[in-house]
Amino acid sequence: MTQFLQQLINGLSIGSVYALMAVGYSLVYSIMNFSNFAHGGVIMFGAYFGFFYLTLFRLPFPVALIGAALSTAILAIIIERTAYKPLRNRRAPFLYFIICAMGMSIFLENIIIALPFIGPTFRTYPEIFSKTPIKIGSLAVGRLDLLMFIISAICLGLLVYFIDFTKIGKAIQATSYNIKASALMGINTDFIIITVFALGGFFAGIAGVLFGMKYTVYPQIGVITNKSFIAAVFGGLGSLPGAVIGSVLLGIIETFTSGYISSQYRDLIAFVLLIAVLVIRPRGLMGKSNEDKA
Amino acid sequence: MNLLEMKNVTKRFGGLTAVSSVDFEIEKGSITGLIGPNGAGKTTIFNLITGVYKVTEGKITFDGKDITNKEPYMIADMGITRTFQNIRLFKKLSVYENVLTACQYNANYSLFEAMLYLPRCRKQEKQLKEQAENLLEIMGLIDRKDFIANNLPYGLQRRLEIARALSLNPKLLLLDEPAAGMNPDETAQLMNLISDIRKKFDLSILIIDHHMDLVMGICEKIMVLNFGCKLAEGTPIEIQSNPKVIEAYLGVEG
Amino acid sequence: MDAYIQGILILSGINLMAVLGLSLLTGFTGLFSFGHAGFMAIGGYTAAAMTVKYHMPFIPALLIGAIAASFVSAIIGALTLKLKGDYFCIATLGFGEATRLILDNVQYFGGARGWPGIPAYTNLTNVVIINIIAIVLLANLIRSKHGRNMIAVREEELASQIAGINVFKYKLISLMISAAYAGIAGGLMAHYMTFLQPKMFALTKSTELTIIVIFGGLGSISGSVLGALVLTSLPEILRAFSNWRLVIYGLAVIIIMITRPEGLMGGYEFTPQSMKKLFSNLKGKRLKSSEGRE
Repeated sequence: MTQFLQQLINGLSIGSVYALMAVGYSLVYSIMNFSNFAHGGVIMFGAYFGFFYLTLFRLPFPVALIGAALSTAILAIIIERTAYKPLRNRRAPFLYFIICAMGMSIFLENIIIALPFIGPTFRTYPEIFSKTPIKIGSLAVGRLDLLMFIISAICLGLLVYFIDFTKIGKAIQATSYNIKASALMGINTDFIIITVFALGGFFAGIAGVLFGMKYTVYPQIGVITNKSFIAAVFGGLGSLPGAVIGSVLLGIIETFTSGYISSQYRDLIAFVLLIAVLVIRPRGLMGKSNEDKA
Repeated sequence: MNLLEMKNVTKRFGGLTAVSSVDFEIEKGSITGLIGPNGAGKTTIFNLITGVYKVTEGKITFDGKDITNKEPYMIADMGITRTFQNIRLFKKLSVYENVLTACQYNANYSLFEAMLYLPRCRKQEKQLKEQAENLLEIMGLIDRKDFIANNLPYGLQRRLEIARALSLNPKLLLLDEPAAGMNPDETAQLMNLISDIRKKFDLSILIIDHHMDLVMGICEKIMVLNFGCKLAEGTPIEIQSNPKVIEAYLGVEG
Repeated sequence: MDAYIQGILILSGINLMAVLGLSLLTGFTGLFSFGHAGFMAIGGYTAAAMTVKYHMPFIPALLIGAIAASFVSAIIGALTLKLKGDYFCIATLGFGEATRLILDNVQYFGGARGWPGIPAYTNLTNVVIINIIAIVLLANLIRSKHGRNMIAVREEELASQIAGINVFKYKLISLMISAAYAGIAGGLMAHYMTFLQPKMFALTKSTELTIIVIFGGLGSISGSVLGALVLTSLPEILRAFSNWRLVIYGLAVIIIMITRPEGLMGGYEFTPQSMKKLFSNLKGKRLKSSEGRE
């Protein structure tokens, strides 16, 4: 029982960070209908920003965290402006968006490797939180795991508030429902798209710092985003609650797999799950089907 | 004899009823009109007949066969084809390629024969090419054969879409607002074209359009839809004098 | 011939084989795959198993590898090609990574450490012959009604349906042929390297193939040939800049998508007729410009 609870807590902690990544991806998908594969690159940059803010500038952790998140938000906006905006202006087919996103992802990952002062080396975050776990009864909860969960939960809470209760949030919902009609109703869809990229980028930065602390920082850390794509399919492409639930479930299933079966299969299980979802319920948990308007 | 029969057909999108228990027949060889105010469910009926939308309730039969909820390509194979309100051509392909692609229906060589370019494939390809050129000739598009579809003037894009639909040798052709955006001259030309097509290709036609002179001029029978329900049905003269139709179109006086 | 140049040509040929398949899928049918390295892996490991464990001759072994890859692709396609949105794309990404992770754990094939001692059957002659056959078959397919149907699916799905084209069937056929080509490429690679390792079939391999297709031009077989030759040999020649290579790749993809999405060849093919037309056009232009001068 103790082991079960222990795994559950670890799973929740990992899953909540997956959720941070998945909401950014899902937000963009729901508005622009394409998979932004450059999201992983943004997360990786977040991890590096956080690392350098902490080590080079010796900023306190909360400042470094927010700083990294703001930096990646700006990065995400720059990506949108340079790579996707020209395509939108041209009304290019969605295939071009995916390809462009992939090019951006390759660029981001390799510019880090190629830059002489960063390079392909693995870097470890300074130890900010002690490694001794907090004891709750017979449970030992890692301080970092707890922190990951708390920060992610706060972020997701803020996002829900933002989407459901602010004017911009409602405009985002309307735009995801029908971008053309929203534009006709006086919503500045260009601004909405920037906002969505900024939000996604902000959360990606936080996720990047958290993953950097949990594992290490290296140029390929963005590959972790694949998990959030899968989580998003799992929850239903384009659905925010789906992305969160899918991510948390994926996190839990992964930790249980490595805890009870073998850590070798931890990564594999995500893909097995993907196939299983596609067989059993291809729309995902929260996905809706809608008929194309001819 | 009826070519197409819709029995009690209903389509709901969530809580919205777009088409509500419509009964409707199309006689073989006829030109039938489908009119009604905006949002009456005309295009939805086209989408139901061609399988683009799934029918919520009811039954559609074509040529004596049940076609309810069949896939669009199967319905096309059985002989129903259409054009779209917001023209859907293969935009980046040439005029000729647009028609040639749709002619595929008339060739049955296999993938294997295609990859090895075997005699049957060669023979049938030659026939397809002749057929496509023939169609372009009839539709007056042959001199623009190599134009990219998207670069054609609007009126000719509509014409090309009809040509593409005809490549399938359909028994029933559905035209969704073929005269939209046309001036009276062009509309008159279109009317001639539609009558010509019916004679040459021996088919039945169902037209949605807002140009009353076109609909009243060439249709033998007209159905009027309003808020998803059938409001009236009859000959152009009957429809023109039907008080319910006048009310729906012009509103009630006083 | 110089062994070094021969090596580059063989590698280009192997890449070309996979690129031809991907060109059919992405360039002509408009589907985007992140899993073609996975199909190469299946083809490669199957073909190697046939020659090493069952002492089968080379060509039948290659064909069995192709069939295996094609069969797996059919399963993935059947599950995802009917869904709207990026499901197929993400499923191929999941499939590619899962294949690699599974192979990492299959000790029968040497697991993650790799599998040495595969006979060196691949040589320049058979690579060239196989590629020529592959190009002829593909060109015949594209010119036929089946190829036109695939292009129609790429251009406008709904209109294709209305023209009596079974969109799902043609997507599936395109995927299966594409995977078979990738499978043969994998088999050729196994018997050229004489060594297989799951790492060789990582996500980067899939993206590399897609980049070649885009670089050459979506919807052009000649473009794919040109792209495979240039982009396989160029990095070999520019070894010194290897770190910046992928940075430039990524940038190039973005710039191509923004400015010249049709790629190098942009739907044009090198055929005797097209060359004639090109020359007569050039002549015409020269005549016109000389007239203008008078």
